[in-house]
Amino acid sequence: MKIPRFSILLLVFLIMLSLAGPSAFAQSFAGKVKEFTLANGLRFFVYERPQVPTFAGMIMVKVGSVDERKGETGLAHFFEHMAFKGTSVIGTRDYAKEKPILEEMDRLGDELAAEYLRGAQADQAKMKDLRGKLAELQKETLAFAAKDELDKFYTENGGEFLNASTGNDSTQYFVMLPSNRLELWFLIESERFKDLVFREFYSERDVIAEERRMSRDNTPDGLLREEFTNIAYALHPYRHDVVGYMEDIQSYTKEKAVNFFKTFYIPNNMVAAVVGDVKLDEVKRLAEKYFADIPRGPDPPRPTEIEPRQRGERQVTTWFEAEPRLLMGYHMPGTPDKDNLTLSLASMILSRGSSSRFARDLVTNKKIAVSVFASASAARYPALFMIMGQPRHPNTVQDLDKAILEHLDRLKKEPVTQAEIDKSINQAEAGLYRSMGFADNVFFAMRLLRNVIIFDDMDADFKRVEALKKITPEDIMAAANTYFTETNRTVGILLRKEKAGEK
Amino acid sequence: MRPDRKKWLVLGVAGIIFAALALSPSAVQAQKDPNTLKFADLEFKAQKPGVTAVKKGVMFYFKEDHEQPVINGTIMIKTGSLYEPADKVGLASLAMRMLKAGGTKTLSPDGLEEKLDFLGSTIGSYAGPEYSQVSLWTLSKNFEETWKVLLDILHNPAFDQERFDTEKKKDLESIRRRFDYPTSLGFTLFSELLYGKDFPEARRTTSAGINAITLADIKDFYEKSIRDKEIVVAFTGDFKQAQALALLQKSFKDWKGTAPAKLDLPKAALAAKPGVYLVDKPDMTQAVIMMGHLGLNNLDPDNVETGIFNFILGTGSFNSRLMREVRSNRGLAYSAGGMIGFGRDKGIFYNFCMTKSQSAGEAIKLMRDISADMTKNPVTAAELEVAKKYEVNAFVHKFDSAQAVVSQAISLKLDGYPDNYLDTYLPRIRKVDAAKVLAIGKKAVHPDGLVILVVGKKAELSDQLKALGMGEVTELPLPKE
Repeated sequence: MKIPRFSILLLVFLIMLSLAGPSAFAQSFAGKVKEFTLANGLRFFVYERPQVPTFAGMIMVKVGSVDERKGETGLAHFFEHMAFKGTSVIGTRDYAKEKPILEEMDRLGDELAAEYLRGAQADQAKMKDLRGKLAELQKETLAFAAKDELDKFYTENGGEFLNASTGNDSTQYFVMLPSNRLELWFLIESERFKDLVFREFYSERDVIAEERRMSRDNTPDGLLREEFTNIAYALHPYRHDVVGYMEDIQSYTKEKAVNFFKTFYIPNNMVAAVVGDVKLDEVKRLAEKYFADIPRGPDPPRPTEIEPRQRGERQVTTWFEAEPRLLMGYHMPGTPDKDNLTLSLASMILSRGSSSRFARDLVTNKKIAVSVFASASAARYPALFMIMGQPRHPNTVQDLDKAILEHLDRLKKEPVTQAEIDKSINQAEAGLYRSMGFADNVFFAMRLLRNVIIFDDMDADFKRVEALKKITPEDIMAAANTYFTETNRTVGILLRKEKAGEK
Repeated sequence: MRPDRKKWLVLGVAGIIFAALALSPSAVQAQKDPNTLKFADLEFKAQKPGVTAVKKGVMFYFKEDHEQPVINGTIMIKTGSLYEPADKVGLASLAMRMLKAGGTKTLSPDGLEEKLDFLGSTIGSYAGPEYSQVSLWTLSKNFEETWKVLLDILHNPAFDQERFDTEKKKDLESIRRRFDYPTSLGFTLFSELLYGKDFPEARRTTSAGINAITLADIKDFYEKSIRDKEIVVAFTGDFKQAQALALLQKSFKDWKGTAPAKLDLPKAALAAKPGVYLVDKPDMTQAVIMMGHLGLNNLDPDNVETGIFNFILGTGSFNSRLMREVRSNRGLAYSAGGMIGFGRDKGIFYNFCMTKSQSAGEAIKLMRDISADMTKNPVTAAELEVAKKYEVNAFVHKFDSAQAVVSQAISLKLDGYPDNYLDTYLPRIRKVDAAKVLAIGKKAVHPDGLVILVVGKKAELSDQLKALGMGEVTELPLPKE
């Protein structure tokens, strides 16, 4: 992830938006968005919006933390950082002189990783020495470097919103540019995947370590979320966090990263969107020119783990200097299953809008909580129905937990009203048109490509809203009874240390 | 995708061209090097929204955009948290939220929420520091009904007592949760150190203050600061200008539009002694570092040119010195940046990063040196070029959507910028040279007057902070609220 401001957070934000109601076009994307596919399998989606002479370009790769194996968690995200380090032309003044130093660094890096993996037996003095040598060599490379030149090219050409983000399911690279810079986007995006040089590989680990400290270890929500997912899944790789474990971050080798790249960054595993003041024919011409020579690769391996049925409630309590928070999760079926949509509708009835059940009853009337939200997952693999809440003092997480369970019980025992369903559908329909009013082209591209990566259908979100209309109150009751069970539940709690009576 | 003839033709042609290029190494190389692509500067003139007076005290800003069947509407009122009495901080926010949350004479709070949710529309009602707003978002087919609710909120608020209790309790809980994130603790205390805790821009809500606010205060605030006051109405999206104007004339027929009372707000002066301040958070593995002093006035004669200084110092992402040195070259932080900020009287000049406890001293020294250098030495020609090119080529993004065009125009107007501000923006940028950037540094950055605040684990930070040679480290207590 490259930019200081958002990254993983940005993706979470965008996904939350897409749940809450993303921006949209009239009717659907189809008809307005043109699609073409290169011979190597790379699919392009082009939406011409000529109002303002800018465009957003986005490449989404079907690789996320879910594709990482044990011992290499965080690699998808780490690779995303690497993709900003340049090529044999971009980011260097003399690659021929830089290359042997980089190779020497890899030799030392492998040695360091091997030592680190000895854990408690690791020779600290040797590691310190190796780190020192790596830092020295890193300095030597600076003599030949054109630092962060990829960023410079985009920026001086008016690039805005330049960033990338990694999530569980995908990694995406994006920027907004003046529309007369279309070819620049094609050149840089194709080169970063054709001719990437893994520069600053070892120093970037430090940056990611800081990112992890900032976004996970030293914030209440990051800490709780990670501890929670670690127990909510027994087997499926959704259990580990996108940023990866510190232990893995410290021991990536160049070889692992290169293999990961070669396996997943292939044209038949990527989709691209160009949205804005562009012409389809020009996009086609440039796509052929810059991307056609990337060879197709074998279909990447996918996770083989199927999450076993949970047979007992799981609970984790973690401590942080902050007011209490509660997370609750129930395993739920994936997107092809009808219950996936049924639970999505249930989540809206529970918490979308200030007249929803949670907001009205728990926040406004009983004032047990300051916020409670429910969300159903729509991801590449079956994931969780999540409920997140913050109790209002002096109510405790236990009070909130009990109140939430009462609401889930009510869903099991009495049918929701047709008025509640109608309201949720109206909200979901309006949500399809909700616009951010800034960086629209980027958000449209993100939404379009996410539909393709998750559902293999650019209009999936429109169709899902349409399909909501077929769900009955009885469907919701049946799904509540099936999934909201004690043995299918995971609970995560964050408390202040002194209140927990622990050191 | 199924191949079709045209596509294969294109492929074939591309193949021939590619083969031809492949024969010439320099041509292939050219395709890899962005320097070989030349682009003209995008000539783009500042976009302006339509502006017209509905009547005295009611201005209308608008821009139609019919791509989506959606309308955004905003009503801005010149009032906000800077104007509330010192013993009732939080009054403006509560009052603005209560406009909607408290229901109207004809719609109960529950009924109002139910109605909006059913339409899939949203209405927000919030106070800012100087301006407050009531805004709506709706599908155009539901505009009429949503607009009626908004007008009802503005004209006939009912200020339900039970909802008042709920909103106050939300505020009290926010106070409890204010410092859950170490960064919010850092930002809040830093601003208090610079401005002083009673300064309007820095003061914050307290439980005592919130508890002291009564429903009578809210009603009084509404009568004195909202009802019949001057407003700016903005519409963007799928509406027709002529109909909108007619609607506004009808909607605000009896609205008086009187000018708000002029208030004398205090001038800013650095409150804390320059030096190092520490808040001990023993369980943190990372230190939050904020350092700086007061910044410039919104209308400073260098307010555009300072953008170039800021880009090179810290807002230009990886093209800025802070990001490059703190993150990229040394791996000391994920997030690092800084700028000379603008404000009503004075904004804040700051440098910021979060780094592991062990490297806090190194990061502070580095950031201090980077800022100091920009007051002593001219920036390089290469730095200047990237910053200026960025401003010129990214100018178009300021006008990316109808909403951006309208809200930008309103903010500039309300903050007192000259009407030709956006027209003169690029000519001013083009004139900036290294001497100007240096002059801005000398004027606005004072390396000897830095207030440095560190939030983190004292046991690991104390020695590093003493070693900075900036005198005694002042430990600040963790504020209760």
